[in-house]
Amino acid sequence: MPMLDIKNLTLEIETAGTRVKALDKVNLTINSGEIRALVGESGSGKSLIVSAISGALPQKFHLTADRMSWKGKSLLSMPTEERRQLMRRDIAVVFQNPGSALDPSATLGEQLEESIPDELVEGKWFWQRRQSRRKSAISTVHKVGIKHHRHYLSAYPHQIPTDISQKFMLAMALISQPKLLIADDPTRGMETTTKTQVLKLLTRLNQTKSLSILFISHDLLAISSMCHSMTVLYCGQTVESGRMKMLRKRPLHPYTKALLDSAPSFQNDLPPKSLLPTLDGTIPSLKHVPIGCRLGPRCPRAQRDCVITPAVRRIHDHTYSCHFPLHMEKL
Amino acid sequence: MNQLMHVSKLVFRHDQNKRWLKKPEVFQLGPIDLTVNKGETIAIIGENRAGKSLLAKMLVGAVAADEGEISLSSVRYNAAKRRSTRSYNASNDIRMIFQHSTEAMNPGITVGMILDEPLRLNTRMTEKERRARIEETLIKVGLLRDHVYFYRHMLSDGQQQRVALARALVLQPKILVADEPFAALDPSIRSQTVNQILTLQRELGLSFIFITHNLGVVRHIADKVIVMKNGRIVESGKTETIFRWPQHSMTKKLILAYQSLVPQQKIT
Ligand SMILES: Nc1ncnc2c1ncn2[C@@H]1O[C@H](COP(=O)(O)OP(=O)(O)OP(=O)(O)O)[C@@H](O)[C@H]1O
Ligand code: SF4
Ligand SMILES: [Mg+2]
Repeated sequence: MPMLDIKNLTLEIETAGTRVKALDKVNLTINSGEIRALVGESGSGKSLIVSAISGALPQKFHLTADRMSWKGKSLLSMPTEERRQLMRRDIAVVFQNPGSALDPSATLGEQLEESIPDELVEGKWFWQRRQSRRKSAISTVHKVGIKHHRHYLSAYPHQIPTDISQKFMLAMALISQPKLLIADDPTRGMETTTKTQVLKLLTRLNQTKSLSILFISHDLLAISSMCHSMTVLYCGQTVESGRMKMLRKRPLHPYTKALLDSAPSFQNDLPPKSLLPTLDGTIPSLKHVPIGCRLGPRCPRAQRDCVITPAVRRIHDHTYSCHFPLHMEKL
Repeated sequence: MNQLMHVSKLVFRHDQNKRWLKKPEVFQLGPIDLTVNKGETIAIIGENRAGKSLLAKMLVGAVAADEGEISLSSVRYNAAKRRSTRSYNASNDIRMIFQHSTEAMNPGITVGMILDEPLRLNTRMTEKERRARIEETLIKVGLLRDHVYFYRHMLSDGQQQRVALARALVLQPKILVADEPFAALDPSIRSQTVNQILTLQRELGLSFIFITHNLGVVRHIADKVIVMKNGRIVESGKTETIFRWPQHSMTKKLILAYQSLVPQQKIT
């Protein structure tokens, strides 16, 4: 049974009197012990999915879903307090803008110690408990690769450089020893060595603590080196989802193919300085989404039928939504 | 090949008073020696805080150096003496796209005005000439004439990146410097931008210096790679050589980290 199971999640946003569908029937499942990647063009709604799961949606957003459950329990009908507890203990989220999620008026150490759940603090007396908190704060920042803990734990959020605050956000998420980590672009702008450190840490936690991870990123290299499965989003719709290996080998959806082609490192026979294969144009704005398949205007395979929204089709654990998928002959 | 720019013994020392973090060691960048040829692509890689962005800013004259000499289009400048960008780079031969350029785009003015500003400040072109130049540049970077009337919120990230590119190109520089031009872009826009730059280089013979963490793109488009650590160039050379036979431990570390991510066997 999947840990997190989302079926047909639709999110409508009201802007200037009209309603736009920012997410349209999105499906996403995360099994226990799985690292799943969520990829897609910027503006395709990845961060919106994160907000929807965390329950941090503004009033003007209308959310509907056929199913949205955590270990079989519906998140939508769950009492607020229970959901809060769940987000505090079992699901940890690293939001995309590292700095903005921190309280500017408290030191990093204070904020980190505060997010340790009481159950994890050892000791009976307050000084023992204080020491225990201090100890796990220090060990967690070491774990994520922040070296000068004395310096950084007593610093305020605005005083630390971006890459440190990215790592710190990861520490904040991991300190409660969650079952599922949702990380929205956690390695953006990191240099390669720091990035591999972070990826290694996540892989290790996945293997030793069987931490499930939803890894959101534009970095296909990082994704393919670490993730077991991948969900591809385009313009608010899930276009393809399946095991990483399968998707790499035989992407069925034209967008997935374009996405994989865009990373020069994936193609061994690419002559240096040759033009990269890419789709024309850019993702449409939400006010002007094409009818039918939203990739339509940019899709090299588009035909007349594409004005009808393609249904989700399934081959084993590989799902896709396209009328004219690639690589069908090989299946 | 003809040499466009030569940098010798460029040095920058960090002013300690400006720093909140009072570590004992003083940050020094350089001495840097560097040659840029026509049509050449140079990638600068290295750790965070290795001084890559600072070097880029010094090359374009946005930050003054403390010592050193730059010769650009066979004119020599004392990099330490200049106070403003006016005297240096007066012919606008080198231009820069800053990091986070899309966030830096002024939301209150149109694309046309954004592109007009450098022309008004740096040239004596008439309004009509400027207008023609702007349209020409927009088309060059893959935008439309109509985009002059657009404001930032009407453009996608990729289009904003192109506006930043257009803004750097509107003065027709010979060298383009870009700080992390690909980091914030999503995959398909990233390859569009890469293609754009490759095409521009073919058409205009533009030299391109860029800072990046994306070694995949480095390997694909760079002729030369410069590796920086703690404000110094620790290794430089042809891309192929650097990737195959890295010498310095820093280079080895970066290349190894990259290669550990690259799928080893070929997929069919
Ligand atoms: N508060 C809001 N009001 C109106 N539209 C919004 C709001 N928040 C997000 N959107 C729209 O929803 C869409 C999806 O945004 P989202 O932030 O989820 O993209 P993303 O996939 O996370 O992109 P990136 O890769 O750049 O992080 C965008 O078109 C965005 O403009
Ligand atoms: S449904 Fe049509 S337009 Fe959409 S991805 Fe498939 S072929 Fe392209
Ligand atoms: Mg996002």
